[in-house]
Amino acid sequence: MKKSSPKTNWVLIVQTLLRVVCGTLLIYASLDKLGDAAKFLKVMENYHILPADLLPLAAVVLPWLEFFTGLALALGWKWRGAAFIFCVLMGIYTLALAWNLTQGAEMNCGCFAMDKMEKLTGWTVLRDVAFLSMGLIVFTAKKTYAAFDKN
Amino acid sequence: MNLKPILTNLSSVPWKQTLQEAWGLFVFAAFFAVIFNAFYAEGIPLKVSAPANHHLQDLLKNNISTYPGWKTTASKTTAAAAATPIHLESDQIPRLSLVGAKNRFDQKSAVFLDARSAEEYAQGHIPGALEFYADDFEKFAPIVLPQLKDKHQELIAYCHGSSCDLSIELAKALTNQGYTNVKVFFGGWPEWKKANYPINTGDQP
Repeated sequence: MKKSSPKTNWVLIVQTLLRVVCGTLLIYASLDKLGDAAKFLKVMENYHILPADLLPLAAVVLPWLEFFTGLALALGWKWRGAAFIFCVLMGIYTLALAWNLTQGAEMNCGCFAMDKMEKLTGWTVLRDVAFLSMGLIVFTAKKTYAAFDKN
Repeated sequence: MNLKPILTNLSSVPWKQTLQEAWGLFVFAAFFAVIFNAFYAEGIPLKVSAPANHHLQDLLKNNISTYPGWKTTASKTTAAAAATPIHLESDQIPRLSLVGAKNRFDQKSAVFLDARSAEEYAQGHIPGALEFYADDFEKFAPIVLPQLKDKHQELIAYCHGSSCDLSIELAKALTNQGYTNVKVFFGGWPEWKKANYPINTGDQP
């Protein structure tokens, strides 16, 4: 592999690592929801973001979107498109969490494991902002290493 | 760490290719998800949010026509009711934290509605809270609703915490009846009790 400059190289390594981390994170987040759309629907209903008619479709599609996006990111297959979806998802999650927090909502985050009661706090929002930042770093990479894609 | 090489790259992102990839991934995932859901034993119906509104559907099936506030398109027949999406006037019930609930309790500015069963209500409830078991809306509506000042009265429904839907069902049903200021105290009874706030026992508010 041809090296351009040591500094750029280092940045690309970090971006590659973050790509794999973001992908793994998303796959992990999707696993508990994949087989239980009914429960995930209840979690989403508590967020009061989507209209009732759209909830079932979102409850079915979102976990699989997370899974395949995570897989694409981790493997480096269509990774930039996947990073774009990752950023959009994290942006939406952050806004949804922040909005519910301002409403004084006391609810289960449902972010990772749905049964584990994870209360919504400012830290939850900050965590999603951190994930979004990681996604943006991956998204803006010039190229990536160890990927299925050639670019 | 030098962030410049990372953050200035946004303009050099191949946007067209990126959006094509993202769209492709989205369509693939959505298609896969819908097919999977159709054949999966625990798949859910996509047309109606049945689990969320099952109680409301039960009420509608029983044809409660005495309440003029119902704004739904549901048919009277069971089959049609199950297949017809219910249009809720407001699906955005505001929720209150323990602090929000306690403030209103102290100011006596709102009416608390206990959406749990009669036994649970008798074992302990927020002082002043009216018994309004959400699964027996028909029985309690004629008793409780006339006690309210008007349809703009602030109402706070609660049940036994975040694992329970009764307060949300009650709040939705009341909102559909035209009550404009219905909220849910999501932490409910367990949080109130844990905070050692005043409680009443017995079947009187």
